[in-house]
Amino acid sequence: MISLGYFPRLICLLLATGMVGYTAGTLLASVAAPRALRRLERAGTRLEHPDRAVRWLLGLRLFPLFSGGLFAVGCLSSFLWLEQGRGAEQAGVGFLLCATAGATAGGVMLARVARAAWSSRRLLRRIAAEAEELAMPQAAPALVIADAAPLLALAGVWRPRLLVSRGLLDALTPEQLEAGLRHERAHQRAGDNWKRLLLSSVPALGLGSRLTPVERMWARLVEWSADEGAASGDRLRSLSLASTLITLARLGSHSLQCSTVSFLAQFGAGADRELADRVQRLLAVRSPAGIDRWGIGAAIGGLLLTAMLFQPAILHALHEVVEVLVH
Amino acid sequence: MEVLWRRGNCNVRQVVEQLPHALAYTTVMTTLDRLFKKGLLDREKEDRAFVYGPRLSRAEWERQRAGQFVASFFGSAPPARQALVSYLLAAVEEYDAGLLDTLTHEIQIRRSELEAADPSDKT
Repeated sequence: MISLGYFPRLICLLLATGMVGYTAGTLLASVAAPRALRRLERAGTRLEHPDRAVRWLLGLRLFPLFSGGLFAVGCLSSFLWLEQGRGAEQAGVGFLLCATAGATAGGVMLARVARAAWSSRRLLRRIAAEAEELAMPQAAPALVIADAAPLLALAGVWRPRLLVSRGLLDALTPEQLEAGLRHERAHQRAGDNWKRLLLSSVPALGLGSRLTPVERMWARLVEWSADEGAASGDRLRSLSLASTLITLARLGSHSLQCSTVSFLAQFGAGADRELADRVQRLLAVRSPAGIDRWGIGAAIGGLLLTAMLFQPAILHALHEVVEVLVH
Repeated sequence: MEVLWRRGNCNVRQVVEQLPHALAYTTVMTTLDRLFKKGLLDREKEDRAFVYGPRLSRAEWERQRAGQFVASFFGSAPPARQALVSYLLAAVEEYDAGLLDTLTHEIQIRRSELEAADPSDKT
């Protein structure tokens, strides 16, 4: 047992309860993940609302963060309310170990966010130094890269920039280019790079084999969702986007044969299937999704759960948990 | 590289004379030596001086350069790449040519159907 003052105890409590809630959330998410993925695999290209599936998958993968945060806030509130002004107390080794694990997990997450932000800044600086700017309709100017291989991408988190290669600009018709730009604007509207950043920074606590497939499925369906956002139920736009994808694939295969980096072909496993699925979905254009009642229900449920935390009875119960955890 | 592609094989002094802006002999010598070490130039010794020549023609060099940025972009470490960039299609892939033809044919059929239909029924 180690004696801890009020504030060190408060900090350790925040870290330890956050870690306990995060671990419990990770375990629950890892149990729910295979079932959710099986359901999506069964639906295949017939999946009706990829945007909803994308939200549920994101919620599932980030559930540990929510549960950790909720448990930490609840325990902290009970501590502040019921232990106001108390002096030093003895803390157990288990409690300190939990707090250390919480600090480590938080540190890993912050380091991953910082690394991704730094990489983003470096990539955009490198490109901006070499690229020329091109005015784009209804968007910030795109950066045009002098490269024959095809690239159309949205890079960066805080101020995302559109990247286009010269090879792509030369190869696409104006209609195809507009379709591609609408796809990237759909990503921008949905804040998908933010979500990628969050997904890649959340530690899996050794359950990566169960949780990484959730991230992969999310990455797949987020493209379907952006495709549908770009088409907005318009058949002509759908066909233009489908032909843009085919043109890009042809150019990509060609530039791969020209370039000296043939090892990159290993990333192509499943690429054919993915492309065929996206094109087939675009050929069977769907109307835009309506109101997501289940999503609204889940959000209201989360808010109610958060509000319940501050009931005196719950705070007393949480304080009992805190006492057990600290000692 | 521009001088060597235009003039063919040259020694350092000849390159210095062809440059649009005056540069020190030693600067040009060092640059040519670096280009040789990077594999962009060949060199042979003639009368105690090196004669440099381009290893690749301008067209070959441009073809090799094509795709280098995009290839390095898609080949970078997954966490950084996935966290920051949404791209339309992982373009540096090897797609099945037969599949691409089939999909193109399907798109053309749908487009013809759409064009044959009432123009007001496009959405």
